[in-house]
Amino acid sequence: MADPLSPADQTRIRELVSVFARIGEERMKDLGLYNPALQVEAVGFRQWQGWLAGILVTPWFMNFMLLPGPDTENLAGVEPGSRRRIDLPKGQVVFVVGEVEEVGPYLSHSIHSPMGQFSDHAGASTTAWAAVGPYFQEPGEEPQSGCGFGWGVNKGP
Amino acid sequence: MYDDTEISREIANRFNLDRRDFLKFCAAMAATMGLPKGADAQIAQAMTAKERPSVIWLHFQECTGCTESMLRAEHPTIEKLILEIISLDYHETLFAAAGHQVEAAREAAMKKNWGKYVLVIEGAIPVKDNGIYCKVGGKTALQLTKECAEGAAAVIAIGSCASWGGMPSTPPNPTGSTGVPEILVGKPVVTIPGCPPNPYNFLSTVVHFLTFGALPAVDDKGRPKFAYSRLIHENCERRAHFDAGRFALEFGDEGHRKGYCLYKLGCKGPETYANCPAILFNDVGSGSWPVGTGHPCIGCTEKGIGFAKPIHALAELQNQRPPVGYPRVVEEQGAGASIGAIATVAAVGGLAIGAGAKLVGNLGKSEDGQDSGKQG
Repeated sequence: MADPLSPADQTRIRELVSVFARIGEERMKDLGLYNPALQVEAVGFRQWQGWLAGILVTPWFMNFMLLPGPDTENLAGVEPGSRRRIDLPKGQVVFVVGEVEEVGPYLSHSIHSPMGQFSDHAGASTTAWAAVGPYFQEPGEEPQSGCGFGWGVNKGP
Repeated sequence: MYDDTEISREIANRFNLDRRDFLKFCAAMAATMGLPKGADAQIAQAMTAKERPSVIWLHFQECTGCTESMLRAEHPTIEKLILEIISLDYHETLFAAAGHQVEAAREAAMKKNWGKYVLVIEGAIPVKDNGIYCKVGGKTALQLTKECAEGAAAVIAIGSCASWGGMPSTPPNPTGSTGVPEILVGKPVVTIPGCPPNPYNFLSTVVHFLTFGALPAVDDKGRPKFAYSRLIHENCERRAHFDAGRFALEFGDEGHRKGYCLYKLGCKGPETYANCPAILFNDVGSGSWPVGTGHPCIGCTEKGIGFAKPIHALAELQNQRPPVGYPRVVEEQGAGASIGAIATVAAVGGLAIGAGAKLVGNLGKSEDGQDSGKQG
């Protein structure tokens, strides 16, 4: 069961969405790799061993992301592009260190990019919601009842 | 179960290797290709088998870069492995003999191993004007290809030229350069495109054939899925900058120096399928691939992109097919046997950024160099 996110964590996720929405508007919108049918959406975020973990869908990528917390590795000052191997319940996943203004450093693992295969946002969103749960399950384990915190498309901002 | 002592002796005699390193290599190879448990023993057995498969290696319209990159690999054992596990009965670059003598050797080897030999073709085949633009020993490339393929148990097209025409087929393609699959219609051909292709991808394919008597599973372009199922872009070390919208705008600018995404300089990573960023080249540590050194990917493994699209042209949001390979759940990790370097091929499954690198002490640099040690 995914614990409900604290208000502070929810604020972080909302900020994650708004920062990437802004990056989309300011820097990505005119690129050939931007799929204008899609939006920025945070999918299934939850606390996992101190990380804030979930999937971020944008018009240019879908990544599984880990945002650091006080009890995780402090990624400050780490070169973007560095790699980390993290043992998730699903198995070991290789992450790349990324960093954006306001959000700070984070770990990301590419699921899709570019996003040309999705004709509408619903398709991308459904794929992400279906993909997020299994990262926190042992192979063969029953799906959990909680599905984590989402933000971006149907709830505002 | 195979006889271990026998294998040890074989390894010591032929490969000049420690048995432990050799078995590690086999395990890494198995992981690389995503093979089930136990496959490493099969690989060990196949590679030490007394009978080595005969290989006929033809060169047509090409620069010999494929052969060069394989034999000049920083890792000395690759060349040794290749030359020890196969019986190279015809290879124009490596043969000491010349002229009709070599052609006679080729014919003799084909006759002796009819139906069993592996045919490797390097270079494109010109078909215009009955193929007169490339001849070896008086025969056209077209004739030789058909002749040699007839008795071949498997055909491997190495390099972009042999895969679809590659550089010689660049428009206007004056000689009608064509790839092997188009010539040998109806015969399965595994293509290992790249300019040059990564030697590990070739070696893995050969090892797969040796072990199972069959070529590995391939995609719609004949490329082994273990190596060509993920976009360069998905494993790229500059990917974090792309996600954040940070791009180099011209060569030598601030963004370029900081390692930003090369998309705006024409990088074809988002439309090119290959494992370059995961397995790198020449075992020299991090950054040893085009994007790592600051040059945009030119899409050399992708028909219709490499040698067709200008280097500065931007990658497009095509309606990509869903990936052939999804991220592997558990990435294999090995310990650092130097020979394991070869096994970096491992990364194959796709996703495994640096997973391959982990297999090898030598290559481990590529991860350590990027400051990833702690959780690694």
